[in-house]
Amino acid sequence: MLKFRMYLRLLKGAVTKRKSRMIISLLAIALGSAVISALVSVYFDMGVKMRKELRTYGANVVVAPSPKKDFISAKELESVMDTLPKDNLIGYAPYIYGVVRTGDSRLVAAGTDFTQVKKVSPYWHVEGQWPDSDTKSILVGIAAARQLGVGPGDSIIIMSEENKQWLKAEVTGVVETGGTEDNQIIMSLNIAQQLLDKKGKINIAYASVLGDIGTVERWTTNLDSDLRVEPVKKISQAEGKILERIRSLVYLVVIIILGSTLLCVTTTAMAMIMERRQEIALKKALGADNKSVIYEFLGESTVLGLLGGAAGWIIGYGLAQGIGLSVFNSLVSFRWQVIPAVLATAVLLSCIACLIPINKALAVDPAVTLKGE
Amino acid sequence: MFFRMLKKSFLQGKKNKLLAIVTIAFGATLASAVLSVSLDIGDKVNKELKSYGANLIVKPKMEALPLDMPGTNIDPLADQRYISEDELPNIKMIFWRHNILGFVPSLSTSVSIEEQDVKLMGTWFNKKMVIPTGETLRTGVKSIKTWWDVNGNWPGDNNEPEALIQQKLAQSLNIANGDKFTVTLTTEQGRKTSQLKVVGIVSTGSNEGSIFVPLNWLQEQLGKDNQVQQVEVSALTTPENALARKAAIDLESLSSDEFETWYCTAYVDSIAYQIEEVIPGVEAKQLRQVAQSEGKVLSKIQLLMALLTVVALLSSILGISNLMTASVLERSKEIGLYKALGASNLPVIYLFMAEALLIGLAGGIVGYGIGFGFAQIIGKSVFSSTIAFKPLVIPMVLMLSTGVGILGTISAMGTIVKLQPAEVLHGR
Repeated sequence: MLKFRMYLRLLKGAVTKRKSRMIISLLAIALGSAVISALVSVYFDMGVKMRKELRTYGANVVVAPSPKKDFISAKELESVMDTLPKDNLIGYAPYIYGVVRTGDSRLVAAGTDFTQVKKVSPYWHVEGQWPDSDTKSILVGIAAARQLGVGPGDSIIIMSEENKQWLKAEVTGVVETGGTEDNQIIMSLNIAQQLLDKKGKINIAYASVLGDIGTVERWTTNLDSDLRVEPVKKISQAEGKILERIRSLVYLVVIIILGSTLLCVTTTAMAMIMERRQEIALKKALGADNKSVIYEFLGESTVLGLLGGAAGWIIGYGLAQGIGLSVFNSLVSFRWQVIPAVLATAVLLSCIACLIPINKALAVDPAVTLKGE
Repeated sequence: MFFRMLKKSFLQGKKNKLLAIVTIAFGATLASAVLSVSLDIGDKVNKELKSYGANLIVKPKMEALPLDMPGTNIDPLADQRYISEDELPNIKMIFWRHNILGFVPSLSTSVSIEEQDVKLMGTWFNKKMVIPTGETLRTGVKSIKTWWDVNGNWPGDNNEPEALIQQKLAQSLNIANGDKFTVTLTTEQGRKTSQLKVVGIVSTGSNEGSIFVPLNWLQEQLGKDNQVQQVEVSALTTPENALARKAAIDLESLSSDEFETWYCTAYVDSIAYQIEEVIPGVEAKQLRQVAQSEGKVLSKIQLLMALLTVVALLSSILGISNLMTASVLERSKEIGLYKALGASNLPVIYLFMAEALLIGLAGGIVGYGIGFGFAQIIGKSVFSSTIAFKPLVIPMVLMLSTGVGILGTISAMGTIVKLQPAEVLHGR
């Protein structure tokens, strides 16, 4: 008991009496653990975040009518989409098409859900404003706008070619995608269905689903539905490939940074111990055996490791949030597993850093060292 | 005298100096590996992003709007205009020709097979092309649409009647690999039938229901020699910035300096502009789905790498400066002795600075070498290509290692100045 109290006193002395040196060691361990905890947090969060970023490439699932039919009903589409977990579905945009006339031009009118389009196809570039849903306001494709000579604020009369119904609509914006939308007039789904006399009918739907190609394929093949639900291979396959590359890139970089951080911290701690040869010699001269010196140093290292690791975790968590916010505009999620991992690494590190040089220090002859040679 | 002291210090504290050099070398290794990789990452990731397909589309300028509707068949040949195939090599002659990775022309028509309407597309599969500079280029669907999964062989690019047929269509028509089938084409001279041989079944993942044939064969059948409807171009581009956005709104609003900068930067719009310059009567447009997303993802990855580099630099600065401080503390006795012998603060500081400089230089050189090796390992294993040698990294790493060495000493300067010879020499 007495021995243990003495041990504690020695430990306390070591930490409080040699402040400047302790601070250096502590700083080394804390910054090292900060780097480690930040990188580990960012690395584990990166897959999910990058996957979300890659969804800017647009829909990765197409829903088409069953082979014998021309249309999908809104109900069928909804029942298919309901089979996906809410968190995995970014959005789905239904489309209805028909040929219309305006002035003496013939062109395609499309009806869709604008709030969904914004989620599914974030690459649409709208000059002007997006229309409010369910109003008689429309987007005009850039090529169509040039042909019709209209811009935001103008009104046009659109006549359905099939049933001769007509509609006066206000152009709120001009859309550019580089794809077929450039040649079309795009309006709200309801308005288009009324105009084209295709109530409740949908030609095709595009969905943006989170998940690797395997998950998406499993979902589409296991679906019990007449509809043809298929992954867009171009998008899903490329997504998987890119994600794999980025992940292994960051993995290697993180490993290198971790490795060298560990080495830096270890060498610093080693240098600190080397310096204390005299102290060790003094202890030995006073009758301490090797074991008790080692125990004392290990205890000291553990305290240092715990303090440094804890401080490091806090700094690292902040650092990770900084990276998350600036790269992905979102916070990096809290992972409790990182805390014990960082603390254990920090303690292990400071103990290893202490054990390597201490054997050498113990081999010294107290008389020679204390004399100062 | 100064040099003798310096020499002595290195010879006597060999082990300590070695430890310092090793630590700095670690830091420098890290810095140079991460810097080399992140400076070279833009092009590499950009190439990977090319697996999303072409980012530019070139079409003839047209009067009427095409009536394309996904999932429906409308004869695309109606009042169509064409691009001449002979003009295509010019795409490789623009200012940013090295950024053009490849392009695929296509010509489509609607044919009937056993009373069923099917889309027939003539295209290049893996065409060998000689460009005006004398170089040859292999380009086509095979290299641009990497997600195509072909079971069997790819057709040739001559006028052999070979066809790739999409999986779903092959099933519904009951055609297997190696089978021959007859298609009925509509040409300006009337209807005619031709025989095609299936050499491969392809899964393209969307719009399943087309047949792909060599471009030359289809041109010959339709009597449309040398004519293509559109060209998809895959180009390496720079993410958009304020200048590119300004140019996109109104090209005329740029001053001549701005225009020059815009023209000489590989923005997707400036590449499109240059393609329009070399091929008359066409419109080159960015496929926003690919082009815009590419820029977004690329700038995210670059930012991530930049931040990782900063973290790496921080971690190496930390290691180096800790070690320098520790070494000054350790040598307080020596400093005390210098001072006791009448040295003022400055010469002692100079001595330590010179030491730090030498250690930093040595560590930096060693570290750069090892770091470049690490960068290669990363390049090989992630992108299966080497990381380019960037001369910029050498001065950066050396400045960093010596700078940090000296910085680390500065934090210890205070200790040197405050040091009382009597106290340290007495051993307290």
